[in-house]
Amino acid sequence: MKHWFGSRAVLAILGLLAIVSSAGCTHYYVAFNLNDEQFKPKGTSIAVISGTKEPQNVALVQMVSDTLRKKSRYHVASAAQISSAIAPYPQTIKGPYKSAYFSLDVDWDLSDRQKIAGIQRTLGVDYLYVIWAPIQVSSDGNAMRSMPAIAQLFEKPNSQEVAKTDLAFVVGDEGGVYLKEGVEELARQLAEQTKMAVAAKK
Amino acid sequence: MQAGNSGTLLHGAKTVVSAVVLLALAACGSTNYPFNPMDKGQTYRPTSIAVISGSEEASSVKLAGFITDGLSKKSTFHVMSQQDIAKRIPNYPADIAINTKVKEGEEKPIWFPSAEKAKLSAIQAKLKVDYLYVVWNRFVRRVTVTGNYGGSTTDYVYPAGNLIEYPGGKVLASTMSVAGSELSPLALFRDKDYYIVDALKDASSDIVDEFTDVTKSRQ
Repeated sequence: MKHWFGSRAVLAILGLLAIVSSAGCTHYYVAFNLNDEQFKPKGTSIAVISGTKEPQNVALVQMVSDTLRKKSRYHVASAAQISSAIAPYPQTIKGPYKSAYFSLDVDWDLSDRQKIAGIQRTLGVDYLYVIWAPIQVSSDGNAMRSMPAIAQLFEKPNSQEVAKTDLAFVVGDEGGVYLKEGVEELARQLAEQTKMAVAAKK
Repeated sequence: MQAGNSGTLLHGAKTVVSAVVLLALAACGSTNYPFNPMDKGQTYRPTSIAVISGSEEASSVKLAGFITDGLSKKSTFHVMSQQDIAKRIPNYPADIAINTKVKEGEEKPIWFPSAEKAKLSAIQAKLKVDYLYVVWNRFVRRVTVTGNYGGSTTDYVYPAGNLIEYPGGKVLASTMSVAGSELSPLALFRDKDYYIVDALKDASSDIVDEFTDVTKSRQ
């Protein structure tokens, strides 16, 4: 009995810690990482595209495009430009993960570089940012869901990968505030790290 | 005394949690009809068949692959390989919409909306098979149950499908099933999809067994 009480007390403390920490924390995880810290932008045009046909992925990409347009000096391709250049759009691009059921089993080498290079050539953009958000995970039917995602930034002319991004969002809250916050942070990190933030404008 | 009260409360809470999990599971798919004929008197010609994935989602593709392998080994049908299907149909797996309004517990649902019949007929025309068996994995679910003596976590898969006869495009049988695979401590060292794949293999095995029984095509 003592043992049970002890383990339950630990569980209770851990639960409280989780509640306290969640009360003060953000509802997203964004880690945009350049492959080379000395990165210098070689152009200003970018297209953000969805790596899957999943509606949540397409919606996320649209939000990222819109936010990046406001927060950076990039010339961001519009959804209409992308759709008219790539047919069909959205289309499935093999992503950098082995499986995607309850989480993403990431392997950065698995994305379909040939297809990505073809898309970047077709779009004629300096940078192509592909986001994969293939799943949403709900717990006990809760309306709030977690949405893990992953992204890669490619640079012309050879569609070389220049950055990787690990992402996790909470979706399903009233007004979609958590997702908006996460997308703002993603746009901020992408713009600042690639030295294309609006603040840097002279 | 405090420990005792705490224990009783926690025991009660765990019982409630378990009940909620079971109710949720029941509400979200416990129907298991691996291969249910529309008409039990139907006869089948053990000729050619192609099992096609109705979705490009990985679990549906794997399901189609496992059923293809199982039918190739256990049935007298001539089963087209997934590679041959992919060679003949550009952009395979094709997106065949699934009717999400089918209610849990329906014994013989037709899973595809009538608007998708043309798409299926076009696939059949390219494959030139006598039967198409279109399958999907509807969703995956991870259920954790706790009790006084520990707990367990199981990954579930929820296959769906229809066997269609050509010419004519008549639906002869329906699949609405479920299979699970319980996570072991080895889960830490295994691929993240290990238990989903294991559950898909189980589900496929059940489907193949019932398929060969119903169609009287067991080797």
